[in-house]
Amino acid sequence: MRRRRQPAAGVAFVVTVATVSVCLTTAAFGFARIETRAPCQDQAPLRRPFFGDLHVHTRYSLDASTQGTRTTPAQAYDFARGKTIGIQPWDANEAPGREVQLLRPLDFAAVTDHAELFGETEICRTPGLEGYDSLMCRVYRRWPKLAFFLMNGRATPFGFCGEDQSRCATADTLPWRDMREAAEAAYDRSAACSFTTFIAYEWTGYTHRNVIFRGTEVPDIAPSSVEFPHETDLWDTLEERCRDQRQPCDFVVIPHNSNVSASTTFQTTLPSGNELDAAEAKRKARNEPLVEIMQHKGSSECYAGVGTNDELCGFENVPYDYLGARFVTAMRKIPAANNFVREGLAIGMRVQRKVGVNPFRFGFIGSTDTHLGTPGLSAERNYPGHGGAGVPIRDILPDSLLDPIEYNPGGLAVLWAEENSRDALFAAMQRRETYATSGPRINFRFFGGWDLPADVCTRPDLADIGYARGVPMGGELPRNASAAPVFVSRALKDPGAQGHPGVALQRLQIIKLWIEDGSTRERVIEIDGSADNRVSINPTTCSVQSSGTDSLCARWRDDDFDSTQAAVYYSRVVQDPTCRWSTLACNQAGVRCDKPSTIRRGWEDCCNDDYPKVVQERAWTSPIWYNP
Amino acid sequence: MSVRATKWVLWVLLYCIAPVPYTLGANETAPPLRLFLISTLTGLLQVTEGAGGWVWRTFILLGVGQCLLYALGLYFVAAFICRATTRLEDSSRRSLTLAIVAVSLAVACIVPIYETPLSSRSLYSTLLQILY
Repeated sequence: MRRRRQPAAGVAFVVTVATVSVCLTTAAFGFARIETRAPCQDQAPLRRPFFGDLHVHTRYSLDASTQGTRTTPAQAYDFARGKTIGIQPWDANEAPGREVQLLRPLDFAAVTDHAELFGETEICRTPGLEGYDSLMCRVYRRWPKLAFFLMNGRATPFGFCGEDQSRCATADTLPWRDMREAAEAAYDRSAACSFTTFIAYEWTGYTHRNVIFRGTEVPDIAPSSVEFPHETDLWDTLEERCRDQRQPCDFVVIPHNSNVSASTTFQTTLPSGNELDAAEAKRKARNEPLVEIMQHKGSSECYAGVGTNDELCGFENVPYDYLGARFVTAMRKIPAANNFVREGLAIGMRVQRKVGVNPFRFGFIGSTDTHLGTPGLSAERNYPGHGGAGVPIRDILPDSLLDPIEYNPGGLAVLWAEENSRDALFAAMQRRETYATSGPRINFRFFGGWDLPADVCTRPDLADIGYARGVPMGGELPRNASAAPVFVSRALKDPGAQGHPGVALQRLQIIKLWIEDGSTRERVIEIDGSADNRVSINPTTCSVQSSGTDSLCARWRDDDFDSTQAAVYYSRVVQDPTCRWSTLACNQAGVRCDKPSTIRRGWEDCCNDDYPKVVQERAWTSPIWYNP
Repeated sequence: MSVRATKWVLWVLLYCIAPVPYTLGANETAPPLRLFLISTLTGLLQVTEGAGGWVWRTFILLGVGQCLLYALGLYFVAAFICRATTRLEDSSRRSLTLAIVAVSLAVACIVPIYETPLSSRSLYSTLLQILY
């Protein structure tokens, strides 16, 4: 069934074998195996969830290196596989002030350093390279935060890059090469299939996007927003360069932080000013099948009280709509609804009604956006901060919260796949069979169909039935004018790690969105569990009295369904409340809000009532769409 | 020491060590001298690197604007303090001024009274640390 690439014995023969091989593996597994690797011992024809992180910065990102991050891509992958690494602050002997380790290794990861300023950062960091002694590089090393603002804010090329920019162009290739080599070296191609990596990077234009490549055939230079300022330029160049490759150079582009994108992520105009047409909408849907709904700089699902009455939207909301407002408080304003994925899904349906194609058919993932090179470090306890736009820690560990109060440890990406290989995981991304969590490893299924049986939740073959008689998360219901759609959602609690048991689940919901009279309508349906489950938590000690459950499952039929209206459905599960990272840190620092003498400088936000002391960690499935 | 000389000494002292709030990408609370140094550095970089753009221009304008504003404001503060010393003998005034300078410098060098996120070293700095 799985074939290694054959030496050329005739072009026709190879093409035939390859085609047959791809067809056979596609038929058997639902994905095409195009890479050369050992077959995985562990196969799950009905798929299983793989947990990972697709948004990781290491020392090659300007905003990480200027904060003392020294983690290399290879070390980041080591960390993802469970090894301990040292992180800043660094002492005089170059020893790390902190060590971090995951409680459980990840299944996959991708290092996504900012492609912008790869060369400039490399020159300023590497003694011996021409330009290292320039004034700009001296400022980079001595006043790194200032250099971060100035280097990001330059409009013309730097003098130290040389008159023809050749120095920076040459240096540009070095980090990208190391990122590719590290991803290759860490990818487990043995039959154990223990860990998968993707070659990837971040394109940081006016909205931010991660580009994930399927295999090893990638552009020689990571196309950045300096040369390709709009996302359509990015797609143009990726499509163009990929056409030149010998093998398919599949990629997915994943927008993130729509919450602080100043309403640009879900805009429906092209750079030319024209409205999205069918061709561009189709291209967007193909190239951008996923959106990052949860990460370090907040949740992008929805915002409490902004275009919604959904009480659970008040989760990791960042109270401004533009990242610059993190630094200039005068610029802060509450984000509008169109910064959030929920409204983005509705905008997509509106565009579909107009041009016939939905450009925002997004599946969901979460990730960390760590700038310490620590993929998957999404636990609230002992959270070291993620750097980047957060609190810079370089030579001294500050006596303060280690991240701005509005930030959080981020989430995880979960992909439903048959095996832990690049081909299988990438196929999951393309078909949107993915979900996001805010950190815990909840096992979450969601199917929609027209005749899912009433006892589906109690049957051991739930997944079998779901695939056979419906569509999984990320799918689209076939048209049906005479029935109401039925959904089944099942969540199993995170089993936890040794000494760190998982938290019970509290309630399971389905969120339905539809367009009526030109307006977005939403309905949040509680389908299992209850908010009134007598859970209690003491924020001072963080002890929990829980009566939550290990699993939640329900079948729900949409009796209000109108087959002439487009609709989208996704499921959300929340755990019992637990202490937020900031509460844990404040307690550990001995801060007591009822005793002002304990509130030291740097810890004032411990007693900022705008931010909750407890959170309900959660997971969101990718949606299922219906189009009339 | 004359009243006039005292005024200028105090003005220089305040300009070099008085923690004042300003914004330059990040909000800092540090002496105007630091703001002056950063603005000058940015100007020098613009000349040497030729890296223009609105961010750089804004940085320089913000820096220079706030430097001038604080120079003027602190001049009035120094003048106000001096007014209280007009009745003192020159020698007493000199002693008082030197004492103020010494104590202020000592406090600024020992206690991390400055908030300096632009340094990326420590959020809070002493005078010695911010000049390092």
